[in-house]
Amino acid sequence: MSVSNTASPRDTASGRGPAPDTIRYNREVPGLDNPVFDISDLSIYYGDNKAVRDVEMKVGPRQITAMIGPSGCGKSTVLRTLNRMNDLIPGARVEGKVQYHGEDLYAPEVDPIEVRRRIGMVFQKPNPFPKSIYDNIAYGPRINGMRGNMDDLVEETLTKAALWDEVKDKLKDSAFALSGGQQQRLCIARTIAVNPEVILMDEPCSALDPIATLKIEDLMYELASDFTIVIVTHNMQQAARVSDRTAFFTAGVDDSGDRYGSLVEFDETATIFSKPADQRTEDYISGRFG
Amino acid sequence: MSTEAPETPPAREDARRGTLTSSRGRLADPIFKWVVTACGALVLVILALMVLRTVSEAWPVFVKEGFFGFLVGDTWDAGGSRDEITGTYGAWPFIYGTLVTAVIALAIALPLAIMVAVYLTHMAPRRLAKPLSYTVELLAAVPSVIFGLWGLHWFLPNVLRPFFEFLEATLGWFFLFEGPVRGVGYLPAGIVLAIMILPIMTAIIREVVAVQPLEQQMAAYALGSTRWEVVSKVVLPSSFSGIVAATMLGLGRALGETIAVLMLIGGSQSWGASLFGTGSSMASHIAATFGEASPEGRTGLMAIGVALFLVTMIVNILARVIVWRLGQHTGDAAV
Repeated sequence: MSVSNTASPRDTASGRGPAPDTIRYNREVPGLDNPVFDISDLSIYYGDNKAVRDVEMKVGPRQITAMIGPSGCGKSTVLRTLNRMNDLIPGARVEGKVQYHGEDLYAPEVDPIEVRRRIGMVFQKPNPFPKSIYDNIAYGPRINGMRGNMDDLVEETLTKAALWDEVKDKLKDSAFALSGGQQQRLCIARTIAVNPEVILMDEPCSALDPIATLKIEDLMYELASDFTIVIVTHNMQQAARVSDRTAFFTAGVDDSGDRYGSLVEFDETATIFSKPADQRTEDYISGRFG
Repeated sequence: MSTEAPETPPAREDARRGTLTSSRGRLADPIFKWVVTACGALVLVILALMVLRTVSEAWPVFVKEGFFGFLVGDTWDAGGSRDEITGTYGAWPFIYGTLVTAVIALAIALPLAIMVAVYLTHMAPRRLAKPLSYTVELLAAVPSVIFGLWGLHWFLPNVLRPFFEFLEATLGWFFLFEGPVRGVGYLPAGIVLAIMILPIMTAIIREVVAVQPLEQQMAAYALGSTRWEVVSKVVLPSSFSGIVAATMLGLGRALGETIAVLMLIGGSQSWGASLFGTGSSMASHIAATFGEASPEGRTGLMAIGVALFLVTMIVNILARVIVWRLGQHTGDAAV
């Protein structure tokens, strides 16, 4: 990483703007030689509408990749193509290539069920099942036919998600009894319980208060040593704080008046926030737009 | 930009003046309150009158047979007296007929209704789902006498009878399917009842299943669930209380259904374990014999009415208990 700064992990973002001290965690940005995802010429259609156009980016293993941009720029749509959640939306269709370890994710022989087991997802609003905390964690391993000690797995998973100490005495209680931040960490725990390689996060903190947000960010940073994380966020400081690489998307209007989203710039986070190559990126991160 | 205060239209200006006292709200609200309270009370009054009247008319029969004896006695021999009870009154054959047809109906209709509802909400192509849902609701409005006629004159001879004969030939050694196959009987009545209660149950279950939060289903998909797993492990458990409600409504209709059962159950006053046997349900027996009943016989029929009321009530209380006990485990928010 080009920026040499020693901000402590607890340093929060100071105001707005592209100052390097918004980078919360300091570590070497790993390379992209063996990308987990290699996306090229990606366009996504909803019906006849070409909603996202010409995306080209890579996601490296065990790093955090952030997608930022204004509303309607297609960042969530692109995220959902990575585990084929778009398949569930009627009329959604993908053109171009999404390679997962060199394998075409959209090849006809690929089973989306298996894709989603390997590539988990955390959603915008905490969405635990209306079951006990224990059963929320156990759901994924159970449907995947896991054998072994479920109690141990639940404890291990909740510990990894930094939630064990808070819930160990009420595992049989409904997950709805938890606070919003705890619910979201439970959802992260539920995702890692099936031991996926990748965790996709779709604005995971947008429904949470700042303290809960910080806890999730800490957790993401911890998890990045074991998982590949792709996060969509509205919060630029968040992208700057946690991510290794950032993709900036923008919304545009084409000649026939249709709105579409597209990728503007993809680079190391420090570069995006200090010397972006594109004027639109600079305008956005410095608050002049969006 | 103008600095003048914006002009207020005269009418709105008026609304700001005038006195703050008014008799409008003070009169209207109490009247409204009393009218709706009276309507609510009316329900209880009607119910109380019905129970009182039926029980008091049936009283002599209960006195003679004993309440329990009336429920379990299996001989029904109505006397012809004007002012005393001379016959023997045991309602068990009718209670049995009611329960067995209702259980057959539910056992067939409930799984079917759940599957149709899941198909309509989760599997059917959108263009098909809407018209199909309407058709289901339309079916719920078909009068029962039509089901009875269709069952008796087409469904029974063309579909059920051959099926029953096959059942009797293969499973006849089992007491439930012991011959002879008579045509009418418990099983045909139960099957036609199932067809009758299927639409209303499907309609209710479909509503409940359709409003289950999408986020939780998405979460299940994102964990690598198949569609079957999403439906069976996430959608249906949280629809539990709605499914029980639909079951209760279907059961209520099956227990009380008169005409269609009367046409199909055979009308005998005996009972037997074989599903091919003929019998009567409580409601069908009342309807079949009320017209020619002597004053004494009418008292007996009133007593059946009381028993029917009781059975319905017990079933409903049981259902409430089930929802309450099991609902806590399924995590249904409506409990």
